Amino acid sequence: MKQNQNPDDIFYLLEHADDETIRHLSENYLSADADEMERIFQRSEQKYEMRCQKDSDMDEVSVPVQEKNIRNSGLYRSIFTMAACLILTVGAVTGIMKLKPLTPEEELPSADTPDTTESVPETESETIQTTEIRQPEISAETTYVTDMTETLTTTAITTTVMTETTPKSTAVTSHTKTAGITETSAPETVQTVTETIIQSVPEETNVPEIAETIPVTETVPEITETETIPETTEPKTEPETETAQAPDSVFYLESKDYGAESGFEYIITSVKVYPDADAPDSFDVYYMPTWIPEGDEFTGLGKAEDGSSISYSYAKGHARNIIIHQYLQSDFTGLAPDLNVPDTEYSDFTYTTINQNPACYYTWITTPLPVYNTDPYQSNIIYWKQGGYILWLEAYNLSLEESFQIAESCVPTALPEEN
Amino acid sequence: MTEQELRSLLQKSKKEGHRAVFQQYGNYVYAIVYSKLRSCATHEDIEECVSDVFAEIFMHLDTDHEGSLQGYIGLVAKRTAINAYHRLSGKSCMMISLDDENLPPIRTEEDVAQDYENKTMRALLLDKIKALGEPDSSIIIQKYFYRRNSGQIAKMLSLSPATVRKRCERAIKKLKSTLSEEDFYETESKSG
Repeated sequence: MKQNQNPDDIFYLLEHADDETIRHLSENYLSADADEMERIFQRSEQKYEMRCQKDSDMDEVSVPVQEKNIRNSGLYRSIFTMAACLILTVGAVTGIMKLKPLTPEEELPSADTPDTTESVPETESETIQTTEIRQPEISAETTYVTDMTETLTTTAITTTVMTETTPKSTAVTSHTKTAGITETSAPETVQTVTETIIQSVPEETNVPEIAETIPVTETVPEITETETIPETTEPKTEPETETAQAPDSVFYLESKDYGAESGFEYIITSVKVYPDADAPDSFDVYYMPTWIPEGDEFTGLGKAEDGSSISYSYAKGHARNIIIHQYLQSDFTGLAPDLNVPDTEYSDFTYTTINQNPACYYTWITTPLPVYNTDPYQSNIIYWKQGGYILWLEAYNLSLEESFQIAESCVPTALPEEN
Repeated sequence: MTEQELRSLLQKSKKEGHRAVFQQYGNYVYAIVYSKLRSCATHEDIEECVSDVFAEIFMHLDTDHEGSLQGYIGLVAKRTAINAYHRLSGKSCMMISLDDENLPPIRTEEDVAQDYENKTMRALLLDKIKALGEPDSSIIIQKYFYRRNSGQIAKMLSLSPATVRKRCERAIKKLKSTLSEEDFYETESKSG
């Protein structure tokens, strides 16, 4: 026999039923009423149609996406090749036009002076500094040449990235052109400067590497594979559910943490019971507390319309509220409403006993809405089994000790006669 | 309706075929799903899982499926229910390499003798429940297997909740007395 089971409960045998038992049950008994089965069937049909629709959508989507992949088309490639060539040409021409005044006669009359050539140091950085100090004009032009070379290099890299038809060595070609122009302008000093520029620009091998890491024609098919897109965009809406049961308790807890999806940290919890086979099926008595806190007054006793529960309550004005519900064991799991409990460090769920009967309780700090202008107060909910019934005490603005004192003081009391 | 008749109906009209399959195997699938998810799911979760099972079956039943239809449906139901169980209980499969030197010895919790006893007792219990006759046997199954409350059972069986409670009380007493005559409790205490 299972350890947690009431010895009188013979129906534990139906748990973990084998295939034969399930077949027997399904052949001889209804699993659900007609309305529920019809609802399930309609839902199944709906899901089936959605899946069929999804499949056909996937087929329809994949074809046009491939057709619309214009980047692979010849026209697209030739336009981009032409645009790239045009940009390169314009860049080169602009560079030449800008460099035109840098003729030895006009701008660099003292370029071949001994001071300049003699001042060339061993390191390249020192070369630039010396050149800038002794020949400010050359320095200014050098800066310009550097800018132009970088512009051309950037253009070349962009062009290489955009299309494979552009030669990968375009960037290097542009450097060479610049260097050639500068060489004619300033034989020795500018030669040094030109070397510096060539080295400051990304090396020859870097350009193809960049071009290879961002290949257009390789990334496009990945984008066109739309099968993975719905998976990434679908939000996870199902909260995690936990089930817990203490070794000796008839109660077990089901909780769903809605914190992740809602942004509010709270848990929807429902406490359920394994009913005893010999539990009473009607209310002969109700369990009335013999102790209540000072100032609380009895406010009413009522019975649910379908006869499934009895509730009675006490209150101290609007400051405090105590309600006790009494359920039939067999009805408790289906009827007891879920709890909405804040998931904070002040919330606690614990299995315990009351008058040596299995029990469990929830306690948490309730933060009222600011409009009420009250302090946070403690809320306690205690479930326990007594006399074959399940009792459920809700106490607001009461300490846990006092709540337990109320629960422990409950004694069977005759029900008042119904009018 | 035989499986062959169901297949030919599916070929004629999908809609009618689906309904016939659902009517034939709805209870079976619900019972399988319920038995797997009873510890961690609400009735709504179970309904959702059952509808998932049938949607899956409808998707793949159009093709010429060979073999037992009931076996196939049972397999789909079990697989879907186990997936739902893992999803609802937040458990995921833990992969352990068999090459791991620190792998502890794998033990089975299966107790063949105990299982056999349980099987025998379960069969006896089901026989005795069935012998109670309707609607008592249905009340017992709905209350103690499907865990429905008196109101739900009353709606299902077109009875009043009070009648359901009273009949259930009597049926339990009768069942216990019948099982005592069969030495059910002795067997149970031995096996327990």
